[in-house]
Formats: sequence, C-alpha cells, structure tokens
Amino acid sequence: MRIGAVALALVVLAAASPPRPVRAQFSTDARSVGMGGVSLTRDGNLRRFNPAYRAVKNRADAGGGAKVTIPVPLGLIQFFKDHPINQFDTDPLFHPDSARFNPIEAMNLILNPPIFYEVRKAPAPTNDVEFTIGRNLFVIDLGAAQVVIPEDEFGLGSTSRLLDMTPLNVAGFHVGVMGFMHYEVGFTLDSTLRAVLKDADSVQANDTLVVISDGVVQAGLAPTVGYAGRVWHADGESQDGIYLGAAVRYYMGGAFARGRGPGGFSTGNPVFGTAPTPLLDDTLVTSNKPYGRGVGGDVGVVWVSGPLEVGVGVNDIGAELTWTDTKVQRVYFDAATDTIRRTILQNHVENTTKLPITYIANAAIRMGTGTTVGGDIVNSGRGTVIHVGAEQRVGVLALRGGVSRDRRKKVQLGWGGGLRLGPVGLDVGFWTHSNSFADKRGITMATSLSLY
Amino acid sequence: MKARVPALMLVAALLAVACGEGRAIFNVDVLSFIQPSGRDTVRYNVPAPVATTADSFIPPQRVILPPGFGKSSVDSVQLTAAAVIENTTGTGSILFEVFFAKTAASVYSATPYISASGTITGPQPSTVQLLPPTAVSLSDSVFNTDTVWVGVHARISTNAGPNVAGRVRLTTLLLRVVLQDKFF
Repeated sequence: MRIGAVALALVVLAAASPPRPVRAQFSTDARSVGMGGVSLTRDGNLRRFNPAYRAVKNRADAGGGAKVTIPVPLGLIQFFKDHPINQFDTDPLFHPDSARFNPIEAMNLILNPPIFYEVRKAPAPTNDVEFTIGRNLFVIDLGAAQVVIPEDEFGLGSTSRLLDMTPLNVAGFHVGVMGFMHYEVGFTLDSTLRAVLKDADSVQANDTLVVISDGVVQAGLAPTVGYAGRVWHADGESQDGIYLGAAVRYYMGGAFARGRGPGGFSTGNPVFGTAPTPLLDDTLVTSNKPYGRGVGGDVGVVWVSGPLEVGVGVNDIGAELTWTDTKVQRVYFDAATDTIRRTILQNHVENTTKLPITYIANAAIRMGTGTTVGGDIVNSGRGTVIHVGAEQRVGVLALRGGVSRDRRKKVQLGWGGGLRLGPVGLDVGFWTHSNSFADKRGITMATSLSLY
Repeated sequence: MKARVPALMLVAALLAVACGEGRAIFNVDVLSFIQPSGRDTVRYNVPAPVATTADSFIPPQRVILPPGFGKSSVDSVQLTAAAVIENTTGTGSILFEVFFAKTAASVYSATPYISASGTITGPQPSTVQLLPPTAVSLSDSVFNTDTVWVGVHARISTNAGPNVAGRVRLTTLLLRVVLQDKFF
C-alpha cells in the first residue's frame, strides 16, 4: 500500500510543481550546454519545427566542424559511487518501503538524469511535516515542502509527431503521413485549498476544497503534401539563399476525450466528527467514432547569407478538428447513493478540438574572428523557451556563455570552455537548471569529447 | 469522540511521506473533541462526616487517529494537560490523572500518562489550578494504533467535616505524537 501511496504522492508532486526538462539539460554536447542551450547544428528542434530546414544541409563547420561528439558521463561515475550496483538491493533510493526513501529525490533523479556531474544538487526537502488537529481545526504545515505547491495552473502536456514518413520525394515536393498525439492536462487548486497547503491556513467547517481539472487528449493520422527547397540563391556553390518549406495536412482524428470540472470535498461542521462530502461534477466529452477531420499546415523560411542564418517555422496552423459524432456526459458524485454516476447530456453531437500552434525562431552568426552568436525561441505548445549564447575561439581555446528562459519562466545561465588539440577537443559546460522539486537551482557540469 | 479523517489529511500525509527522513508530527487538541459532550468534567460529591476517599471517572472516550498510525513507528508522545478544581463545599485534596490505552476496558488499569494533585483549603468555594508537568513517552506502544481510548480520573480525599462537592474541569489536553516515516 505504501508503494501505491508513494506513487500517488509522486503524481501529486509531479503535478504540483511542473519542472520541465530544458533541452540543453539533456544535450550530450558540452558546447551547447556552455552556450545556454543554443544548438550548433541544424537538426533537432530546427528540423522538427521549421519545414524549410528539410532543404538546408548541415554546415561543414557546424559545431566547430566536429565529426563526432561523445559525452563524458562523469555524473554516472558519481552516481554509481553514491549508489553502488551491488547495493541496489538495499539502497533506499530504489526501495519505497524504506523509511529513508525520499520520493522527491527519486523524482528529481528522473527529471534530472545523472549523465553529467551535478556540481550543486538542488536540495530535496527532508523537513518535518506538522498537522494540528482539533474538533474544528485542521492545519497542515508542510514546512519547506510548501515549495512544491503550485500557485497557478499546473499540468502536463505535449504535442508529439509519433510518425513522420515521407516516402515520396520529388524535386523538393514530398508526400507522406504524420501520426500525431496531443494531450494536455491542467489542474488549478482553488484558493482555499491552496491556502491550506501553501500557507498552512486552517481548514474551517463547511469549507469547500477542490481542484479544478481540465484535460484533453486526441490522436490520429495526417496525410501530408509538402515542399521544401531553396527558392532563391546568390550562386550555385554556397548554401546562401532563401529556403521555403510548407506542408498541408489533412488531419484524421482517431479518438479524443475532454474533461473539465471540479473535484474535491467539503468539510462538515465540525471539521472532525462529521464525514466530509465528496464533490465531483465534471463534463466529459468523448468521440463515439473516429470521425475527427480538419485541415492545417506548417510553414517555414530560412535565410542563409554567408555567416548569417535566420529562420522561422510555425506548425499546425489552423489545425482544428471537427468531430461529428461525440457524446457529452456529466460525471458527478451522487451523495444519496454514495457513488459516482454518469448521465448522458447529449449524444451524437458535433464538437471541435484544436492542436496547439508550435513555432521556432532562430538566428545565428558565425564571424570570421572565431565568434559565433546564436539564439532561438521555441514554443512546443507548453510555453516558450528562449536560448541565447555565444562562443569565442582563441587558438586552441574556446570560451562560451549563454542565458536562457525555461518553461517555468526562470532564467538559467550557461558557461564553459573547450580545448582543441589537433583532431581531439575536450569541452566543459556548466548549466543552471530548475529540473527538480526545489526552489533553488542546481548546477550541472557537462563534459564531452569531440573528434574533428 | 469520532474524528473522521478527511481526504485532505491523506493528501497531506502523502506529502509528508514525500519529505524523506522528515517526521510527521501530529498535534491533537483532545480537549476540543471531548468538551462538547461534557466529558471534560469529573463531578464529585463525597459525604465526609469523617475523612474518606472516593474516586470519580469519566467513561472512556474513543479517539480515532489518522489511518496509518497502526503501521507507524511512534518516536515520541508528549502530553500536556491542565485542569482546574472548582470546589463548592468541604476541604480535602484531589488527585487528577489522565489515561490512554488501546482498549476501553484497559484504560483505567494502565499507568496514567499524567497526574497532578491539589489541596482544597480555605473558605469555599475555592478554585485550584492543577498543572501537571508535561509527560513525554518515548518509543510509545499505545499510540501505534488507529484508535486509542482516553480516560480521566479524580480521586477525592476529604477532611472530616462537611461534604466535599464540586468538579474537576480539564482546561488543556494536548497530544503531540511524532511518527517516524512509515505512515503508509
């Protein structure tokens, strides 16, 4: 039972404070880490969010011209030193039954894999939690753990392209199919519940304590016709020019579900001594048949002019799906029968859903003086991430620095350097992050070897 | 006393579990639960032409603790109590005791967690404060359960003279239970 409870706690906590991985945190390239997450190559986010990049080849000098970059996972060495493999059987980190098991520490490990060395670990709260109970009094003082209680809406969400096949490519035109999945779940603590958990306010008699939830999930396929190519170029040899990319998709929704409403309970009078009354009154909309249809598309442009490169890409423009056969139900708690009941409000009715618009804007300039400056703004449907960074090469040395704003709107810093000796380069990058359940930032040191 | 535990406590307890080696501390105002039923008062009326002794008890009161106490390792239990003697006639002395036990039947056969005594003297009516020292029970074996029973006992010793009558009224009864993390 404890394992289940801890699992539930993890879900609550994961939802309660939504640290989202910053891309640079999981970059295996210490140079990118040192530049605040700016990508030195034309793959990853650029190709995902800007269809014009399908037509742009990687630069020969991209990433300093490295052929291969190999991460040096110093974090794993530290991790296995702290948690020897032969002691996994008794290590509290892996045993929720242990009194020393700390779910927050375990969750931090998942959110922040120990590939690289953690110079400063974000502290996992290990404070006492105090409950004050009286007949008409209930105070929960979570102490330092109050930081995990969110002030605003929190949740999880993603727009994924599970499949993106373009088997037919002719003269820049391509025909294929894309599989998409979009889910988004948001929760908001009502003001009373938030004050109880975050400010240690007392629960009062006849209080209503609820979480407002709002979630949607939809998935399907989208046959696609697109084009990506250079529409203008100064000469035939360089990559200079303007690249355009566009794709038109016919979205064929397979299934969708959307629910919203409050869930919680109201206290009796007195708080203890009378049973609380569960509160649940949600509206659930589901598709009866896979009849979601809609048209949308992606557009992107890239301009390359010598050392300068600028690009903008937008995805899923106008992607609104119309579901012709859906069912609207009310899901509520029936106090008379002490059960959760469903009633159909409407059946075989039409509903619409939207895929969130995602975009990227990027710019980079590579100067002949050994200076590279770049930046990007990415919104993958769950908030905007900004990266800006620079690299200065001086002989065999490289100095790097950068700054970013993560999805939690927290400013993070990156800095580092590198040493290149002939065909081998060693790079070190430091990166502050908030990928943990703590109000303090952690600092990661990434290390990688590059072969030129 | 039947104190149901709202779901919020379970959520909060989950968060408590999430705090690693941190402890879960429960401050329970026991008096607030038994006061409305009048069980916070032990009345006495002892005929005392000669010196004698009499006992008064409240019926054992049930205290339902949050689920999980039964699986928990109780680090310590601290009990703070205070009472007042409101005597109307007679003189003598009063011994005041508070008991906790796992079953109703064994409440008054156990060792009291807390006790104090007071002397009733002077012109009547008189009021005497009973302030027993705070009791601390380490590695307690009574509170590692979801339900405990509480009892209050007053022993009245009279002096020769008029009847001794009045009441002993609890004014404070606070429990502080510290659990090591095995709440679930």
